[in-house]
Amino acid sequence: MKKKQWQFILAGTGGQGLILAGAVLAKAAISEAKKVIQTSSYGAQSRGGFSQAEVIISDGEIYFMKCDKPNFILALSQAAYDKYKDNVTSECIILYDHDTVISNKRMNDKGYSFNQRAIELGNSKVINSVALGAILKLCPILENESVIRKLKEELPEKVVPLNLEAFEVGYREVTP
Amino acid sequence: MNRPVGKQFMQGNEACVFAAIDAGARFYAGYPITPSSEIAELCAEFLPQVKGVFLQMEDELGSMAAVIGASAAGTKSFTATSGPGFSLMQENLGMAIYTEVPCVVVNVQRNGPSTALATRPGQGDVMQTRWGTHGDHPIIVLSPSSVQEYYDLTVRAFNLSEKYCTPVIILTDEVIGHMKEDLVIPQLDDLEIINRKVPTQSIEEYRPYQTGDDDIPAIAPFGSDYIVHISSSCHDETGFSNSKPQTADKLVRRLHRKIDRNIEDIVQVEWFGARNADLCIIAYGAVSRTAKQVVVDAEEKGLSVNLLRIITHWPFPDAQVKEALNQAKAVIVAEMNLGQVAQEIQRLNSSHTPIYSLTRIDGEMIIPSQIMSKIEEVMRS
Amino acid sequence: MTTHTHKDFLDQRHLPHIWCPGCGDGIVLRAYTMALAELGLAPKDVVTVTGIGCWGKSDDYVATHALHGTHGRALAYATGVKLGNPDLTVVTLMGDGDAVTIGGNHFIHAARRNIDLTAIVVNNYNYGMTGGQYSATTPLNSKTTTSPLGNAEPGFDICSLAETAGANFVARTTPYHIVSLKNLLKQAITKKGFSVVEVITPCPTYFGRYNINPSPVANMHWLKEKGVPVAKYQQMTEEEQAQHFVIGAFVNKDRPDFYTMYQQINSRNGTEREGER
Repeated sequence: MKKKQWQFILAGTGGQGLILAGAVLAKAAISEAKKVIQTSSYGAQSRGGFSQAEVIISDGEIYFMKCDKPNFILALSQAAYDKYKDNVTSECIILYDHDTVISNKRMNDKGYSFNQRAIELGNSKVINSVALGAILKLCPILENESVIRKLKEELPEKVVPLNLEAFEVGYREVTP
Repeated sequence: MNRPVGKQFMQGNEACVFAAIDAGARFYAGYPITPSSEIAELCAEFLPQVKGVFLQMEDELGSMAAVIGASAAGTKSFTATSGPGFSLMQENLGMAIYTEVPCVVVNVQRNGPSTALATRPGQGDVMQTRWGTHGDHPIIVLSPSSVQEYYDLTVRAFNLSEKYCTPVIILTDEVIGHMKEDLVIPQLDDLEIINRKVPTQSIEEYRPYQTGDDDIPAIAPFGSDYIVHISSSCHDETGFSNSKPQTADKLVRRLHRKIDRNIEDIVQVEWFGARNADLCIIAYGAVSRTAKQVVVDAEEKGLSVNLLRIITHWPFPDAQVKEALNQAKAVIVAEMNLGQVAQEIQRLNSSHTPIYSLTRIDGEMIIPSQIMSKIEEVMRS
Repeated sequence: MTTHTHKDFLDQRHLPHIWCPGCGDGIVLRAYTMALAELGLAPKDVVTVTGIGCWGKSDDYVATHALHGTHGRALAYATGVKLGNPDLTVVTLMGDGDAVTIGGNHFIHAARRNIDLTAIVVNNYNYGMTGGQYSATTPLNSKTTTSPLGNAEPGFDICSLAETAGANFVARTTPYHIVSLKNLLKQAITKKGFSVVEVITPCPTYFGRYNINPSPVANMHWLKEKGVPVAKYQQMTEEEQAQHFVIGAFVNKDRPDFYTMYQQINSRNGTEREGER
């Protein structure tokens, strides 16, 4: 699994915690001495609109800061899926939310019931941690331990156990 | 304040605030505007923790004025804005230059003119930083292209401002302002911090705008035993208004001289790739990141391309640009405006090197493939 | 403690001043420097901030620290000066153009913010320096060089504006009432928070010539006649009131000033600061 540069796009709806998930991914990569850039874009409304975090993780210097050749897309809304389905290479993995997205069944499309599993875990807000687990399973470029450590640092203490459980669920249940 | 130190992961605007505080800034006055507002928000949080003051002014005219007032009272001061606010600051930017009050203005550029695409990046203010305020005047403008450099140049901006008693503008853009990247924040002891000159004359003989051979005045802060008179009108060495033609001439020529004679200290560029390449891309800010990717990609394709990255916009790096024009067979200037710097480069083109202006003004970043197609087009011709 | 006389606050090198015969600015400047001396201040304790216009030239004659800036921004500079060094006594000298026309936004917000500054607003109802054009205080129907047949706009009442916007101290007087002028300035400078003293001043060269009388003496008489104390003003009929203006101190309160509030609020500890996460 050697690759010099990995481009992740985490796209969905404001409030799903995608920018935080991107930051956790980025900080975990930094703790493994990798170079990282995160950019975000969101609409005028803070909640409910389109939201996306882009994270580039690299073993060397990163020059261009935008994800122009994404390796991995997390699509937690139909808008997010539709934005990328025709604009990425066939190798690019699109991991979409089975509950809210209708897939075109690309070769590297993977569905998982993110919304439903988050609700079952007891709080829809942990959807981002479920996604982080799934991402690490499909793209094992970072140690799980690095991500778990950053989740503990970034989240308020009282919600850490549930988010760690969510991470484990995502990691265990999504299969390559 | 819990000062971050060592390896950090931060947004550009965030790094700017920590750098400003590290450089000694203790006063911020500004008016919120996208994409600079994070600077105001973080100043509101952190300045009181270091016994500083954050003030949200009623507009950018007043923000710039308050920054001048606080700096004249001896407190390192700054503000941050974007195009529409920067336009309003021009009035008192001229005042700060003319009265030699150190301060730092951060312009996080967005697409323009007017309100335009408020959340999208642009680089259309390059010439405004040079000529936005009326009258002949020198200006120092620095342009970072990474979060690390945003931190470093913010410290440098305060240092240059204090050293030369003049406002310094940090001209960045939405991309650099908002992106998060890893950077290393040095120990405070490892930072070089420059403070403005202090008077050495006796109180009786003191004239705030008297200078030695270096053309730089020693203006005491308000409240010191040295009485200081600061005037936006034409003033002599006493600081009082004086409308003699020779006073007007002498003052403005000295203001230019104090910057011009220190070009080597002020001007910074970065060369990237082989120095003797066939084709040179000239770029700055966010776009220089695209250009670096292109230099790497070009090498893989066997194309001989390098980059001259402008770090100090003003005074303009004439010598370095001339070197690029003399060395390369062609120059591509890539910028998110309609060729503001390309025109400035044309001014220096006594070697008649072909200069290609690659422009983009739709609020989207210039992407690597865009520059690469231009290179291939130029190389074919 | 060294005591200073009003002369210590004047820079003799630049006198005599440039103001026209019959202008009130010289009298206000004298009252200002006397007030500073009587308050026991030293020139180094005081920053005089001026704008643009006839009265905006007054920094040329003061021996305190001074900042003379662009038109309308005096209060904004002064706000920065005060927060840059809260120990300083900061006084802005502005005309009606500076204070409530081009700089009106800064005026209302300085009052609302209640920043600890004093504004000495010399109101001569027009722009004297640029040739007698109308300002935001020029009364309806008045003739100026930009309202040759009469002003179609009503003028601001500076004191009402300051009071409504939140100033701690608001007063009006004239150079004719020299003793009360000096005393009101002393009160204003001593008051913590934003203080405004409006000084209605003759401009025999322009506004006076077009609307009152070209004679300096007649303009002084006009001030004496038209300026009436609060008690007397209240006994007047509405028609009489319209022909006069009221002088004296109208607001004198102790709302905490901006910097006091700022320090108080920012000394709250982290848990109060954090809020919800």
